[in-house]
Amino acid sequence: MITGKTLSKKVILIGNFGVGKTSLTRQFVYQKFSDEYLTTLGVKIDKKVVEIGNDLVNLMIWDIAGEVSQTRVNTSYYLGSNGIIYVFDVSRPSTYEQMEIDIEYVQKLLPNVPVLRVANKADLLTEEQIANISVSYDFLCSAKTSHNVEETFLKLTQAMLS
Amino acid sequence: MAENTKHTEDAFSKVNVFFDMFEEVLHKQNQQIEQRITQEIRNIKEALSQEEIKIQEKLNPVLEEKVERVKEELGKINNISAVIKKEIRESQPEMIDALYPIMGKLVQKFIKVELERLNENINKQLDNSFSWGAIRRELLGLLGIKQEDVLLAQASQATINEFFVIYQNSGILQAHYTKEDVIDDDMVAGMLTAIKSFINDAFRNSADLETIEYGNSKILIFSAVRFYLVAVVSGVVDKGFQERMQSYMQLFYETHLSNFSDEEITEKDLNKILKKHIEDFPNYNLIAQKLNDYRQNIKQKGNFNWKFWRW
Repeated sequence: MITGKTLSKKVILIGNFGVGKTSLTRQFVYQKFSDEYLTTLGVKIDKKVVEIGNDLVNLMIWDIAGEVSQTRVNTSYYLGSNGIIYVFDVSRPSTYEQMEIDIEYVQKLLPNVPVLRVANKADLLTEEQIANISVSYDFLCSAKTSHNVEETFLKLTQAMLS
Repeated sequence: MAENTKHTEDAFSKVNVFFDMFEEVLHKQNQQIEQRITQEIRNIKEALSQEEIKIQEKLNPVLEEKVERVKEELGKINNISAVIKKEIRESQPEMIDALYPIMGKLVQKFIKVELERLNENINKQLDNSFSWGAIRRELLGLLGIKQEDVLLAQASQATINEFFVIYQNSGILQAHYTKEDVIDDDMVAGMLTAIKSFINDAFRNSADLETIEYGNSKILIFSAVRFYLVAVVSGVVDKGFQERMQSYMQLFYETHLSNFSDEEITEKDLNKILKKHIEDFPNYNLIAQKLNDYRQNIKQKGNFNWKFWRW
């Protein structure tokens, strides 16, 4: 039984084109996955209510299109965010080469906001290949198999509340 | 035993001879039938080609005549459309008279439906003559505003269907008023914020998005510092109404939001306050409209218009 408060938090998903930001959101919100790739235009907003302890948290998920470096003009989408998920494609090094620079840039706009680094598309690599990856991340996910998707969002929600 | 076997072999050879003869007869008959069919087909083909020539000979003159007639008719039609165009251009009043029975009826019907609707609204208001609304009207009457004006204004004015109080940057919804609870208010608040942000970024303009128009409705936006307020209005929304709505939104912001912290605002029952505020808007709108008329009167005449006051 929910006895606590109802809070609203804004979460943004950023990262390069085609890394699976929309698929992660879709898997988390609707428990669905599609192999069809549709590029996001501008921004796509979804909502999911999660239960953390006695509180209900209304997550407003902003899936922001395109690359951070390219969207520097659209900084307004980042404003007021309570949490950031940086997504990259674990099978394409070009999608995480710029990650730390991008995160540093976003953190300047949003200081003290928790950031999670998410390596998506884990289903495309073998365990051995994954072990050899040179980049560090908080969660290894697969929007296709739903591996670690829920956990990522719940972890970020807890971080936002603390 | 040997005798019996010989007898059987003779019988078989006789039967074989009979079958051979029978096969030969059948073969001959088949050949004859085949020849007859081939001949028949040949005859039919010849007859058909002759018939085709005969039909063509008969049809050709008729077809030529018909084609000529169609050409003539088409020419006439082209002339008629040119004549109609010319006629319309040259005799507009006559054309209007000719079209009036059709168009006029449509316009009459539209006006009739609209008047009926207005009448129904006024009747509803009158039925509630012992309500708080009626008392308010009496009070407005004391200020010199006629009851008929109040009723007419209330019946014909634009209506607020939705009202949102949204955090400026995050797009998180703080309060919402709706006439029919059919939309996901959080999603609408988010998308409105995204549209606003996009406009600001794309055009790098310090001016904010103030109006969005769709169908019969308008979305009026009042942007303040921490929050922005959005009213979705349908009906007759003229410039004056928009200005009054903006002022009313500003009034709400200054009274209930600007001087309070986020925690204080969250603790308030802002939805309830908002609902009351929206319900009071028709009276505010009417008084503001009258005051505006009064100011304009003074401006135009350069002196006080004593007729404005009934007492």
